[in-house]
Amino acid sequence: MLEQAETILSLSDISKSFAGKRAVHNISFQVKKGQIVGFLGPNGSGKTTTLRMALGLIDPDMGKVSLFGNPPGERAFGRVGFLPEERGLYRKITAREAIAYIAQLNGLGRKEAYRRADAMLDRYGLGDAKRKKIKQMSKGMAQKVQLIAAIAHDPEFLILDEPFSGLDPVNQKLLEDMVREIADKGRTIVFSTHVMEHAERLCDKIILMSSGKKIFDGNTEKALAAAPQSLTVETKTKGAEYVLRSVSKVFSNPREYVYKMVLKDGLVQRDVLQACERNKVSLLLFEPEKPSLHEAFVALVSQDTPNENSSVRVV
Amino acid sequence: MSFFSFNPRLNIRRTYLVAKRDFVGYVKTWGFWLTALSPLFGMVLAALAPLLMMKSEPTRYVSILDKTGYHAAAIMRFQQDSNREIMTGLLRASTKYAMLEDQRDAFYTVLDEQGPEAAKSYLREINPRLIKSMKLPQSKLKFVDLPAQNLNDLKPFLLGEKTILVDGKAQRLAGVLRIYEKDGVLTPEYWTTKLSYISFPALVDGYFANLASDKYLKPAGLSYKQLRDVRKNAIEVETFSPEKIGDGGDIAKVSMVDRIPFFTAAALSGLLWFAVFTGAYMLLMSMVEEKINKVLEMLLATTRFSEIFVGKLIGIAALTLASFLPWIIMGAIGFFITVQVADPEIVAGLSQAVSPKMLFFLPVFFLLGYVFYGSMFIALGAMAESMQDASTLMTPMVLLLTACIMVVPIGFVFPDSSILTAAQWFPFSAPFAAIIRLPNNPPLWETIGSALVLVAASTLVVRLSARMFKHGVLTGGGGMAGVKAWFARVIFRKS
Repeated sequence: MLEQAETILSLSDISKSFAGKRAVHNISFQVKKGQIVGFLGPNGSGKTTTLRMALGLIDPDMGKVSLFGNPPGERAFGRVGFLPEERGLYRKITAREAIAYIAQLNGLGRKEAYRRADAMLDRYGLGDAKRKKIKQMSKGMAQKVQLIAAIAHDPEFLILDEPFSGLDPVNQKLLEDMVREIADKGRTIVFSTHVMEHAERLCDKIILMSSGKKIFDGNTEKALAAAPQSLTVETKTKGAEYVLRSVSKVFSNPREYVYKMVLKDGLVQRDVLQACERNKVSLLLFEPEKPSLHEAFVALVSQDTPNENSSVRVV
Repeated sequence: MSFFSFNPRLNIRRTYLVAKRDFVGYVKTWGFWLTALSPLFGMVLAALAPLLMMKSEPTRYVSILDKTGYHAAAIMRFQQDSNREIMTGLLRASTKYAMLEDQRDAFYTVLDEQGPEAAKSYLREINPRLIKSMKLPQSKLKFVDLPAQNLNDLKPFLLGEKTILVDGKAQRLAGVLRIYEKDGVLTPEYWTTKLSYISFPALVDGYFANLASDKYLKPAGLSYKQLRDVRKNAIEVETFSPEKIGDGGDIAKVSMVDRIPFFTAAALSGLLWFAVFTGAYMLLMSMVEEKINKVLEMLLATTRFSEIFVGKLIGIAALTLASFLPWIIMGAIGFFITVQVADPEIVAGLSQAVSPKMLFFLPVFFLLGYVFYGSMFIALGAMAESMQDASTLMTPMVLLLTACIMVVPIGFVFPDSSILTAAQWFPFSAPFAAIIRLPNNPPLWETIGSALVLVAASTLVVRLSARMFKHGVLTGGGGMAGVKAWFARVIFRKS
């Protein structure tokens, strides 16, 4: 019962097609209160469609969406903040007017909406641009204004669709700090991205999409475990290269006696050690490398689309 | 949720905020006020233009080289007669509503019997303020003596190389009228370098036309002036209407005043068309602007589709009314002034035109027509991806609206036409046809029926447009191809 109450968003077996083309297929996941969830996947994997269904902007063909325990829509207005993938604001109004307008639609009174708009513009370094029209702003500045508009009413749940795209590194860092700050207040955040580093640094949970299907749902550690293992090995044993190549998917020899390798799918470090022991290869250095989420992502996507040549054979 | 369903439940505050943004967003721009006030500027300019032209027109000095010895003096007399006639008409028109009836009758008597100059003197005595405020034009054509006696010697004067002296000032000769007989044929030639100045040749043409008429009528002992007087006093057919009862209870004569309601209905129907078109066009533009600015997705996370849809309809309706405010104010002022100063018969005609039926049905049909067309334009705006798309999508609608405005002239000339009756039941033309038919007193059930048809059609269009709007704002829209695909999917259930 308690777990039920803590679920902010729940998607059960939802599917959506456009003009006969399947955009999202049979997806289920839950977002719990206070989580930062990274919604990852390549372009066209169905992330935006899923987020739109989560908000009730489009209806799924099949399945059920529950937001704050209700069907998405009016009952969630004011409790959700949303930054869409397609950025845009009224170009002929000022930054504070744009923020206050969205905040008022989200239920704030006029005075309070303007007060918060001013305060947040000051706080996020746009104090001088309060009375600047959106059309006079740079793309990055306008994007920050839109993000402020999405959070000005202090929503319980924030959905950000590709929030980092189009931002320079300084503003990307600022946005990461903003996300952490909002999460520290106990708010729940879902953001989509195809840049793994942001998800790696911010997320408690990762949902990975590929070709409209969910291919992973879990925490970062679990995702990293799916990444292929990389090693640096040093050996002077004759014929060692043949043994090491047999367990490697990617193999290089950056300097004499030193080999860098990415293990074949399904193999772990112990398999390399066993292969070396069987073939009497003595190792001077055995250094596993920390996998990145990017590598895990590539591995998970390729697992989802299995290749005939990927069978494992160890010497 | 079914694709055809449209939940009309609205949050008043959010709908108001959407409406207010659309209204304020436009009202705050210079472009809006320039457009709204342009009719006023236009009218001021139209009123000032003739005055400016009159003021800026230089006096033209012309001479007549008359070899016949007769026509020069006759032409000068003809000009004086023409000027007197014009001045009489002007004095009569400009004093019609500016004097009390008794004073006016006395003035008209002096004008008719003694001419305009005597009438002006009389007016100076009885109403000096009025004559002072009147801007009566003066003839800018002056005849001067010939500075030379043949064309060769006149040439330097016409080219501006030499000038003539008029009241001690050097002036340029604008033209010379040379009249002579050649082989027994009277030949007038006008020599000038001021080729665009045609008033004088036109005056001479008028003189010779009168002369020809006189020549034709003279054998019968008649003159052209007599013919004109006879025509002026000719009997005219009078129209009577059994619907109109005179003071004595008998059938009364129909006058121009009785036709005022028909003129008014035609004007109001045209204005209604213009208002509906303006509103619908603004809705389309507002929608396209939001599509291009990519604002809608963010709005939709906080606002229902129906609230945005209805908010836009309300906001732009308010905007349309605001843009028509100068017209409404001008109309009200004009109506008030007319009621105060105009002939009681005209006032009666106007009261008949602005009947309670008209006052009730005009806003009803504006509202229904606006919702009907506006919903369609919102949907088209949602399907547009660019301004070019919007223009393409709008073209069929503009053609349809243009076809519908044809009911105004038809209704004015043939108020009982079967086309007009049919147009009243066709939703696209119903608002305009119903209004223009009103002075013809159609059965009330027909007007109410027409409104009900429009209500039903508007409901259907709002539902379809809302679906199309919802589809269009979250997809690219797709322009004309998008509309076709949408109809194929929704109407023909084609995937």
